[in-house]
Amino acid sequence: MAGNPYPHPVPVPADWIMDASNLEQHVGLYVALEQEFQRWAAGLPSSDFIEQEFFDRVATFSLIKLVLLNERMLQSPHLRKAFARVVEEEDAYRAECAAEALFPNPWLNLPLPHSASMSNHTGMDIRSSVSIAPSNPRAALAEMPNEILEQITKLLPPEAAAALAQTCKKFNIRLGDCYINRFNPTTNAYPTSEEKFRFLQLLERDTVDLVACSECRNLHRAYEVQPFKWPVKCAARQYKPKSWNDLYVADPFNTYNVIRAWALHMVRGPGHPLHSVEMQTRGLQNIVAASVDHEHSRRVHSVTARVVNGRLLVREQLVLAPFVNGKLTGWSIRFLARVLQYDRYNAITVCPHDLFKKLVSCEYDPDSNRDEFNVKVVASSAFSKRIAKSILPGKVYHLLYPPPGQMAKQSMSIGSSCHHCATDLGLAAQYKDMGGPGDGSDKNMDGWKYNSHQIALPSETQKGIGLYEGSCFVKAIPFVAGRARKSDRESFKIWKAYEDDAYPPQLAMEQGVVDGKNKYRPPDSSYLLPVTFRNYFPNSNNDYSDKDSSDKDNFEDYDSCESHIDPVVIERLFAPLDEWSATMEMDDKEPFPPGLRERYPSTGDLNAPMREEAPLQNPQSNIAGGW
Amino acid sequence: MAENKDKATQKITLTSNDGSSIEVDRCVAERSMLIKNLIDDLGDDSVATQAIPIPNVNDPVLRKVVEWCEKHRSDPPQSTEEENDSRKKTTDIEEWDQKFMQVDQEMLFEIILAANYLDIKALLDVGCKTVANMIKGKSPRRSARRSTSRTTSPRGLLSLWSFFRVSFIP
Repeated sequence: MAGNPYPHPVPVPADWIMDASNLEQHVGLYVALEQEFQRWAAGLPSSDFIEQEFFDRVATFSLIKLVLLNERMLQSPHLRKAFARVVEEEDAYRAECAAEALFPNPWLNLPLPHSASMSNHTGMDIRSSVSIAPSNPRAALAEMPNEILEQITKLLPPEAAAALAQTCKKFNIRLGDCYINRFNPTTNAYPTSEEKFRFLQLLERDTVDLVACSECRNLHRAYEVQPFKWPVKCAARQYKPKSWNDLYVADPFNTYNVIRAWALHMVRGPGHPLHSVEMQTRGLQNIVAASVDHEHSRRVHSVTARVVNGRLLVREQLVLAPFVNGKLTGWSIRFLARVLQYDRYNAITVCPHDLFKKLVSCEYDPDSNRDEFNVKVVASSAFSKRIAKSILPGKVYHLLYPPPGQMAKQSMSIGSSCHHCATDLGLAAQYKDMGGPGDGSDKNMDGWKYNSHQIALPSETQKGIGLYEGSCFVKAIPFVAGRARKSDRESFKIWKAYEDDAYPPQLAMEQGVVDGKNKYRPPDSSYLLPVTFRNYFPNSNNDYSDKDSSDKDNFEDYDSCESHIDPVVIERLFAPLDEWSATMEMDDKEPFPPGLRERYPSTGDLNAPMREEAPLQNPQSNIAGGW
Repeated sequence: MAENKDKATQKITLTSNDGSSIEVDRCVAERSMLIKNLIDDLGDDSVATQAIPIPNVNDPVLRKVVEWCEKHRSDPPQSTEEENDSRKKTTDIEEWDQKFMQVDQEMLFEIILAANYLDIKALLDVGCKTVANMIKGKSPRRSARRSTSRTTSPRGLLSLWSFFRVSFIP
């Protein structure tokens, strides 16, 4: 607590300062306190939240920790009063303890029957070990008479009643099987699909890596696509986006991880330097990890999200896997082979070309037992304006850096593929602003309303508690993103914010992130965004057709991504592998296409540093590809 | 009519289990079917002279219940099964009742028990609806937390502190 600019109004006992590692549990309280502080700062009278509910609820313990965390809130007289009350109560209790030390209650020193302290009685205060027990054991829900409990459960929707019956042994015995049997597939009860899904959502919150799949109505991991069961098909296998903007953001946006990210943000947020939390846990990838069959190529969606200055920014990424006609292209095979030998090559590029290397590096996860590898996109070094111009197709580039007077596109995308060789790996990312916390009337949230998912406003009892019921805000994020169209300018801001940890941009300027030419300078350390490939060898046998879709304005039809590949190259690729590799002289000494060797060190080691700023041989060819 | 009015404003004394007594109007007390039946059985005179003991309810809870009855003294009487059906389907609570029920959980459950004992159907309904609203939308683990642990008293606080001190602070 050194360096606190505000003098501490109430002395804090030194032994109160403690580990605050699980602070995010108390986010709601923190938010409430923060709101209270804001009220005070704005000159408003105190809300009665502090007066009435504070000590009646779980707050006391949390309050101390939080106040210690953020002492500046103690400027507020309301909070100071509340805090002083805690101190007073503790003093009273200490005095009581001191009195009892003089005149101890003999009964309290008796060991509890059948406890370990019978044999090892140290005379410690038994009360302290049982003091959390309710003072009136009769007044607990579990101790209610049967008729009252029944009356309460009859008021509950079926999923809540079933969840209640699952809480503990006592409830399970008292409520019986009738509620949970409603969701038991072996019984003849037929819950509605919505009921079942709501129940799964409740269960999902107690797990970290399981997701209530909205399509197959089961709990499963994101990567574990459920086996085909008639008549439901799991989204992870079956979903086909109708348009480019209709990317698949799965329902489990209200998962634990998102809430936790909010929590971390809210705890560390306003008064602390760390403004953003990138959610990189495995569970986050539950949000979307869907590989999608498409006519000619294989796409991999991934979504990451981060909270920047209180707003949830989502980055959706789509990678077109190196497949042509359902087969790996030649260079892809070559480099995949090397990728799979991970012990020899720590990280290896999919494509040897320098511009592309800045964009994508590739890595095989030896722990994974399925045929997948991770492509990591180094975001901060990939997209300088100059490089973007040289590697991105014109259309995409103009989306990113729109010329003045240009019509706004539906949303912003970044795409790339290599134009020097047959490695047909496309990458596209889309950034969205999902809005911030609030009561749903936030205009940024409006765009994300979706029919089947209401924005749950906090109820009367929850008001002022904010994110304590965290799911109610996160639920506001709908099943399908892409409803709200933003101008490309705005999308650009979101993109920069996502990459630069600063949103909204004005805030970044105020905070002095301004850096001469580049207003929003990327952070020094680039971070990695995981993308997952899988299913290398798909079974689809669609014919390859060279469509000319260069005039299409939107990205609905992504087939055109192959159209820039030279038909001669494709002919070669369809030849048997042995023949192909013979013609290309594939060996470790010559990993590069003809004409590119001089740009790399003679060892052929792809990890070796490249020559910097090598000019492109034919810059026009980069933009020529039709997307 | 005059007799009825007199009866309504007639004072009745209720005694809680910790000995303190509360004086209420008869019509307020008669929101409780238990008391109403009791008065009917004993007759007006005996009630006017003697306090009615409520052995299962303590003083703060009884006051809270009386407060609710005072507010709802003019409500139409409880009716039959039709209303029972309609009330089961919705968990909406009136605004005043919502505020009334903003108490800690121990008090809430005691109010429910008292309403059950005193046979005040409407209050029991409100209490059950409040609890149902609290349970709704909770995952099993969270419901368990709600149903078992309640207000952290300063003592609990201290023991928690000592626990944390021992376990986390070197």
